[in-house]
Order: sequence, then C-alpha cells, then structure tokens
Amino acid sequence: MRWLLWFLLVPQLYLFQCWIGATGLPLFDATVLLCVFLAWFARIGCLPLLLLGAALGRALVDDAGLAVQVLVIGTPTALMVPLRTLVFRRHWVWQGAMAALVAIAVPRLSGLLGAWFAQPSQSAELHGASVLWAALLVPPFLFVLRRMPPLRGFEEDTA
Amino acid sequence: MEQRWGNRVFPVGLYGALVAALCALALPTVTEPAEKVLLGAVGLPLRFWSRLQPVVVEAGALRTEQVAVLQEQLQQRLQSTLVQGAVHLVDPGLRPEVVPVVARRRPGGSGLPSELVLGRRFEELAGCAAFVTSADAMVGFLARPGQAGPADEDASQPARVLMLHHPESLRVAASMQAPTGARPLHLVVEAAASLDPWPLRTSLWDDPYGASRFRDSGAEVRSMRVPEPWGQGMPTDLLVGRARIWGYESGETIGVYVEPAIEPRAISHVVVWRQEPAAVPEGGEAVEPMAAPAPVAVQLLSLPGLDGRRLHASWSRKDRVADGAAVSQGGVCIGTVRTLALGQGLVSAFHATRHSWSLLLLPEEAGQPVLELQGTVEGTVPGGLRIGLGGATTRAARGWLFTGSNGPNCPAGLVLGRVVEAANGHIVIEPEVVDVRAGAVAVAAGGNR
Repeated sequence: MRWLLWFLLVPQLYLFQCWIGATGLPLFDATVLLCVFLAWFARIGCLPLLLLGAALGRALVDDAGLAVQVLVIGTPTALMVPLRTLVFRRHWVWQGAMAALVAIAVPRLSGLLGAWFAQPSQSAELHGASVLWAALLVPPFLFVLRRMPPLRGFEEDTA
Repeated sequence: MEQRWGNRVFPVGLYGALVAALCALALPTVTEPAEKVLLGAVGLPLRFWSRLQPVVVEAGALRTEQVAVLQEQLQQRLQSTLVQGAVHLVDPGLRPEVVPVVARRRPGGSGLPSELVLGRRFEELAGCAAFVTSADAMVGFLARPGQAGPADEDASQPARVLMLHHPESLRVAASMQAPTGARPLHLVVEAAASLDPWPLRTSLWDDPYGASRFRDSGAEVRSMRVPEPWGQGMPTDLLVGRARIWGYESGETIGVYVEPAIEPRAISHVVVWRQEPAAVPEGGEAVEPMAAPAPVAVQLLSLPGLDGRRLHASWSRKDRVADGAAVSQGGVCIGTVRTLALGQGLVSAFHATRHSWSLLLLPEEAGQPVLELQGTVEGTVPGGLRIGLGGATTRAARGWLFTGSNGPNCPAGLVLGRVVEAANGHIVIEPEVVDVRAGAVAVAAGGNR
C-alpha cells in the first residue's frame, strides 16, 4: 500500500510544485525536498525504488528522460547519504544548508547531463531565489510531509 | 553492526540504480519501452482528468485562413529560393525538383551531421543527376541504395544524400578566387575529420605556394566541371563554401578549410535534378510516392502551473503517434510529443524547449529569399521569445518563422511566430499563441501502424 501511495502521490507532488509556482507563492522545489528526504531520512534498502518514483515525477514536468532524472536526483542523494553518520541531520539548520546546496547542484547537474546526453531542459537554469527558498522552505515542508503518507511509510527507524 | 554502518554509508542499491541509469542512457532502445510504460502508468490520472474536460476545438489568435496564406507564400518563395540560384548553372536538360529533408544523421567533418534522409524513396529519384543543390550551393551527392548505409537497403527505402563532408562522399574539384589580381586557384575539396575546426578541407592545390600566401578567410570556393565519370555531371560555379584559414598567430597559413555554404543542421529542403523526360522505372510501373504521416487528433491538457510549457496529450489507443511528432493546431506549431504507453504523450511547447531546431524564415520584404536557420530557444525577453542562431547562417530578417526539418514526423512549414527583432546571431519572435486549455484538440503526426 505504501509503495502504491508513493508511486501515485510523489509524481503529483511535482505538479503541485508547479501549481504553487504559478500562484506566485515562493517556489517550492520538490526535487530538493525529495533529495534531502532520500539522503537523510529514508530507509536505505528502499532507496532505489523511492528514487525511481521521484524520477518518474520529475520526468513528467521536465524534458529530459527518466534515466537522466534518476541521475539528477540520485547523484546528490548518493553524495549526501554518508553524511547521515556525521551530522545531526534532524536539526533544521543542517537540512536548510543541505537543501541550498542541492538547489544549486540540481540545475547544474541537469545542465551537465542534458548536454552530455543530448537532452537539454529548462530546469538547467539556476535562479538565486530558488536557492534561498529551498533553504527556508524545505525544512518545514519536510517536517510536515515526513509525518504524512507516503513519506512516513519509508522513514528510517531511528529508535 | 559494522556491516550495517557500511550499508548506511555506501548504499549499494542506490549506486546500482545510478549504474542502471547510465546503462539506460547507453542503450536507450532497450530501456525505452519500460520507460514508456512506467511514465504512461504515472500519467494515467492525467489521462482520466483530461477525459473529464469538455472538448474545445479552437484555433489561436491567428486564423486558419491566414496560416494557409502564409504557408502558401512560404512554399512559393522556398521553391524560387532553392531553384533559381542554380537553374542557370545546370544542364538545361535537367528539371529541378524540391525535396523535403526528413532527418539528418551520421557525424562527418567537424562533427556535423553529414547525411540527409529525404522524403522520397530511392526508386522515386531514379534517373536524377547525382549532385544535389540548394539555391546556388552544392549540398552533396545522392547515395545509391546500400552505399555508405545498411547492406540490405533497397530502392523502396528513403533516399539519402551524402553531403560533401560525409566521409564517403566524392571529392569535388573547385576553384577559389585568389587575392586581387591573381588568377583563381584550383583545388580539391573533401571531408575533414570530425575533430577538424571546419567540415571540409582542401588538398591538391595547383599552386601550393599561392595557397600558402592566403591570409584572409571568406573567399568563395566554387565547383569546377571535371571529365566524366569523375564529375558526376556536376556543373561549374556551384558554391561549395567559404575558405577558412587555419594557421599560426603570427599569420602564416598552415591549411585552408572550407565552411559549407549552408549550415548542415538547418537544411530543410534540397533540390534534385531530374532528367527530362522523366526516366521510366524498371518494369514500366509508376512508383507510388512516399506517404506522409497521417494526422491524429489528440486531446491536450496543460499541466497545472506550467502555463502551457508542458502538456499532457492523449489519443485513441487505436491510433499511433510517433515519438518527436509535431503537435499543431490550425497549422500553428505547439510543440513536439514524447510518447508514453496507453495512448498518451508529453508535449514540450516550442517556447519551453532547449534543443536545436531547424527553422525557416519568410522575410516580410517581398522577393527576399527564404532563410534556412538553425536555432535554439534561449528564453523569454521583453517583447517575445529570444532564439539564438547557430552555424554559418546567422543573418536574419523580420518576417514569419516556421518549422524546418525536425524529424520525419515534424513537417516543415508549421507557423511558430512573427519575427519582431532580427540581429546578427539571434532573433526575437512573438510566438503564435495557441489556446491549450484543458480539452483542446490538436493534431499530431502519426506514424505508420
């Protein structure tokens, strides 16, 4: 059931993000949020399929193909996973700082991979405001969404 | 405990997923069907939502009749642009025929695509002269079935043109106007290597010393007739390209390259020269012309918040829409579709794409030739949409912009917008807006079932 919810709802999160952007509210970046969740909160064993769900959602709203989306989301996630053991990840300051870094890395990676694999897309454009909003909005959004399905079902047991 | 720590730091499954993604990019044909099914399943809620919308059939701000008039003008002007430049150079016994280009492939000199796939079969072009032109420029030579291609290729398949910078193209004899006062230099032009700075290189100069004294780029290189069978009937004075000098910073020339007269990525039509009267095909049977992709009605749904940049398209599951097919309404191009499973696709609107397009520009000024351009959308600017122009042809003019040759299912001549600013290296267009509200019906080019 939790997998069904993940594959049903996470792609729609991207559409929700676009809808929020269109209303003029601060840009909420679903890719950054999911990267931070996958890297620091999700169960390690579930990561490949969780990544696939997130990549499918991003492929709905972006020109590049599914494989490029897996790399765009998966690369920063893979780099951040080892930090689970090094930082006190539940502190919102760390989450905000990491979200800002991911918000810079994702467009750069999109641009780089798009150029390499001839799949250029608009998401390669970096906007300064989106980095700021990622740092400010991802921790509270994550706080709320981690307590709701489908993210709640995949949170690592820290007890 | 140690193993658990190791798994937490080095998630093997995640790395496996990244490696699998790299494999998918290396072998796209293997993984593409699975990707279509997965994305199709994820897009199903959008398909249901789309079906709930009332169907709207409405053209954009530009009326369909106006589009038809513009397209007619484009065809007429394109015909005269492409034919008139060479008609006085070619043997009077040959009749010109404008043929659309449906695809470009195989990197040749300087890494540029060097093979054109035409919208005609080999058998339809039987009896045509080997050389192919565009305006007064030499494009290349018609390939024979199987030449520089698959061994099992036969005459019923789409004809191909090997451009001059194709590694297996014929070399051409040419002449170049030397600096003032000197006599023209004679040379041979051939394909350069993929790493060379320009697609064509020169060799066998009749005056190597004279060639080494060349300092300035830009001299015209034109074809010369040579005795048959080496000449392939190629006339004298077709423009091969412009000389590009490669040398030391101090000014000494090392080599002379040639930049083709037409940007290979911009070519949308070529001219083949048919013997008159038309050659009778073997067996005396008329050759059936190659069928254009049949149009398919698709229902569009603009994805929420994406302001028409990305759309969900759905169609009857009995129909087939090809990947990369143009989606248009009333002759106005909306974008191209990436097909998914279950009769769905995702459309990227023209203004949201970032890949290279082949474009046709119909200048406002009567009598001006149609320009074949290669451009990439750079983003919105005050007053319109900025398109950066690449390749050799960076000059432009105010007028109307149309699609050029962008694949077998994206026909040339769909309206994109009016060019309101033309500068060297870029243009700004007022895109033709199509109402893509939920339920809007458009047409996509279908593939053969």
